[in-house]
Amino acid sequence: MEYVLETHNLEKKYGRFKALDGVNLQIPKGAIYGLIGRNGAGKTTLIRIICGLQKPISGAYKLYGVFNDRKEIVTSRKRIGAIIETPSICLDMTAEENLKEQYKVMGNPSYDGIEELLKLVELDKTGKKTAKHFSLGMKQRLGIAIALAGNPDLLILDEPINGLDPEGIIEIRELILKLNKEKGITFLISSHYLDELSKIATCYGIIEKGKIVKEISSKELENNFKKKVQINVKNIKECVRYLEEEKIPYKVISEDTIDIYKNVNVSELVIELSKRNCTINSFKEKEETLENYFLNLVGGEDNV
Amino acid sequence: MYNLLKANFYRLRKDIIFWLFLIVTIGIELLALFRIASSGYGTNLYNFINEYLLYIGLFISMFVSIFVGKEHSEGIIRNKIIVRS
Repeated sequence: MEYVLETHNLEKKYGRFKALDGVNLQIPKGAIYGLIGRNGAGKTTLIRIICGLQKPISGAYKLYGVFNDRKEIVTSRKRIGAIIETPSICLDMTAEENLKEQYKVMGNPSYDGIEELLKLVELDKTGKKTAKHFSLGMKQRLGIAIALAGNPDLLILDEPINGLDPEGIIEIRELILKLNKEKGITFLISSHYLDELSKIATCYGIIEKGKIVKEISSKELENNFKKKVQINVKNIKECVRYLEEEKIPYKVISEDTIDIYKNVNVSELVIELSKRNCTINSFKEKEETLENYFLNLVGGEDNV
Repeated sequence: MYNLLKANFYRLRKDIIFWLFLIVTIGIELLALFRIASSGYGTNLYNFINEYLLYIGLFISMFVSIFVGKEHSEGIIRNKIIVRS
């Protein structure tokens, strides 16, 4: 598999605090890579290092097969676009002028493609409105447009949906999916909104205390999810006895509720339990979410 | 390097404060010229420098700090570093 970005034992310290402690991650081409972690886990530091805004203490990373200590990394870095923390736009200029400035920075001789870009992020009708009058979603989209100005193959988004309304979140999500599908752009997205991330990401990297705790693809993750069935019964003792006999993993939640961690045959369960004079009041199938998986992995119990 | 300069000139051209300060400085200069012309040959050059040329330096320093500071506060500098570093 071809990797866009590989990091090897990246380390970064702020004073005594270790922000990154040997990060190893690999982003395959064409993936939407979701970087998940708590506040202060090192997500932004990692992204800043990749973008060249900070230097790692030790370790290395490879962008399109070029190591970061080589001179050619500059040309590699031209192939990435990034929004870090807040969209970097000039508030006194219009959307078009912002893009023109970025074009000049990139050294593009002509302004071809600016209209296309504005249409892509649906900002083509803003006219002479300066960026300071934009809504947060519009600013975010303009930020993406600027990041796209250099025709990047890798787009790095740090918290792209922070502070957006539901509509804005959907807009950004659809834009990401569109770019990924139509232009084949690889994405690296860090976010706290796990639900939103789980809708688009194809790979996940879970970072905790400066280390990648787990790297997992969304397919693997789905298989990893424990399916559980929550039943509400009258006679819990009989039910537990039956589950013990059948060696089905279970967990008693309350006086009348039990979680069963197995794909059970429903009719069989009902018949067996009714034989033992135990009626089932309700039956719920629950699927574990990315949130649960994340909290289990980083030991979120002490945080809840 | 050249591109960064070009981009900043472009931003300068679009900056209202730049034009405002330019007009004010030109106004002060014109005032100075007018006063020199009206007072004949008796004006002391030192007085002239102290009174008028001083403002230009003041305005330039104010303007440059605002202009460059904006680049950092709005984070535009990041775009440039990523592409050019």
